[in-house]
Amino acid sequence: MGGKRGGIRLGAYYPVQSPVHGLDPRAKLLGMLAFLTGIFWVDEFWVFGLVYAFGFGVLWLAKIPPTKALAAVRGLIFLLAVTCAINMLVTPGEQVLWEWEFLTLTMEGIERSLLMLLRLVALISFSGLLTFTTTPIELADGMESLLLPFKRWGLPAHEFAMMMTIALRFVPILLAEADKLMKAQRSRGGDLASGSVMKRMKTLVAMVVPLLFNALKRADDLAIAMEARAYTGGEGRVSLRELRWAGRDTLALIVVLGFVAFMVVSRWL
Amino acid sequence: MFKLENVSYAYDTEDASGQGGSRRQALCGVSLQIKKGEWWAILGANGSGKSTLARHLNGLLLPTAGRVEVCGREVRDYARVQDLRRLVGIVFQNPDNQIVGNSVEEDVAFGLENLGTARPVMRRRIGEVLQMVGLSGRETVDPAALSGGQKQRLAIAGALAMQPQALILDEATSMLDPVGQAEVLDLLQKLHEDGLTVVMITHNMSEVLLADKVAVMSEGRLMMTGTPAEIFAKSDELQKWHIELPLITQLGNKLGVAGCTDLDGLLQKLEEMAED
Repeated sequence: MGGKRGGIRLGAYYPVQSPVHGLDPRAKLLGMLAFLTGIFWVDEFWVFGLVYAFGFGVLWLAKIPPTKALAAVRGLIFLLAVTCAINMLVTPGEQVLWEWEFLTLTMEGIERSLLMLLRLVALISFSGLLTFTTTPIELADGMESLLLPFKRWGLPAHEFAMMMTIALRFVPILLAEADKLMKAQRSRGGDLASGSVMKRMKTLVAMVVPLLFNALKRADDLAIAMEARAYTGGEGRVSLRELRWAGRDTLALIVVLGFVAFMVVSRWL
Repeated sequence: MFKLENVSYAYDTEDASGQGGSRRQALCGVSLQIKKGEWWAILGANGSGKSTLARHLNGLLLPTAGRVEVCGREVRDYARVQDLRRLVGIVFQNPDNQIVGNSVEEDVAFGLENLGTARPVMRRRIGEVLQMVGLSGRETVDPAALSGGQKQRLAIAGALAMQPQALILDEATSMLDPVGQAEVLDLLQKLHEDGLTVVMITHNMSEVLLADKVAVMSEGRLMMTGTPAEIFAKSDELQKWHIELPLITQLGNKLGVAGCTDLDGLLQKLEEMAED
């Protein structure tokens, strides 16, 4: 799944042997969920310093180059800059540095927008840790296992995981198809990258409609193919892979949860 | 292996507003018997009912009239649908639309997982079928990274892992390049030699020549059955049903030799004609 197709970056499993790669996907899922939630509680620059140190420490343990984690931020620089600027110019405060019409630049605004920038960059960079170190199928297995207790309340855990597996499997196929449709449009003068907004919208519609139609056709074909291979749902199924929770998974989860507890408590320090 | 008696099937169709509409008859009174170990080719123009017929052979569709027997049992009598699906594997046209797994071994395992096979047996069976289809050592590869022929061999491996007694191929080579087609056909010939029953739906006449028997369909009806030579000898009727003859048969017809299916046979008959 990790790779480029049609110039669009896909979910990026980074295939190396590392202590983080070897962890049970359930430990990584729970740890990541807690860590990302914890980031929302951080409200101090010095705590963010520790969050980044912790995040890059885990990246180092996972043998993933930091540039790889930060690559996701690069694609969102414009969006981050705009969000940051808006936040900076509309946050009220006591120490006004500049004022024009309804826009106000305050010390508080600068501080808040920088904290928000640090939060967003941390979320974007470190959320990749999960997909860098876990294959899509491990993720689906982990998710199925974690959702299994909710089955008694009617949550279709197996079906949810199967849906995710299939969605991940179809991502490169649909991207390749989108790429093909884009080239077909371009060869007939329709280009998404140029022309007026209306022209681009028309080109987009002409691309999205066949893409959607083909996706539905593929889904129908796949459903028949799955049925032909005796698929009748989760009942009585035996998965090829077996998840095994080890002591190192407990240890890793305790470390992450401990750090998250610190992130939450830091708000009152 | 398969016994179809007077099988008919009609699809429900919707009108333009999405409301329930009429029923479109796809099969009309088809009777056919396929013995164990035979290789059949099903021929017919688009919409002739070939794929509908194929889907009756492993219970994906149930006849609206008539009966279908698989291994001596009516398809409706199988208590578990999995038992029927295990007996008859089916491979479709587009490999991308039938591969479920995110890795080669995971896709081969899919059918076995559904059958509730024990993990050690699953592992052994995956190794065996990947060896059989020439994909050994590629267990962890993403199927998206395989060539068209390899993907279709993977789809065949997925069906073979369930140890079927028959394999249905619904235009399984039509999206492949010549190299991919040759890969799949070589594999099928090997499997057939080992006793597997093969039912191949195809428009490719060179593939039809590999079959022991041919069934010709038109507008949901079974028009004729016979060996490839018997079928291709009736060129006028085939053309009426929009079926093109193999090049070698066309050449033979031009030279006055009807029903020729291979070059050696054509040369021999021409020699005989010259001697006469």
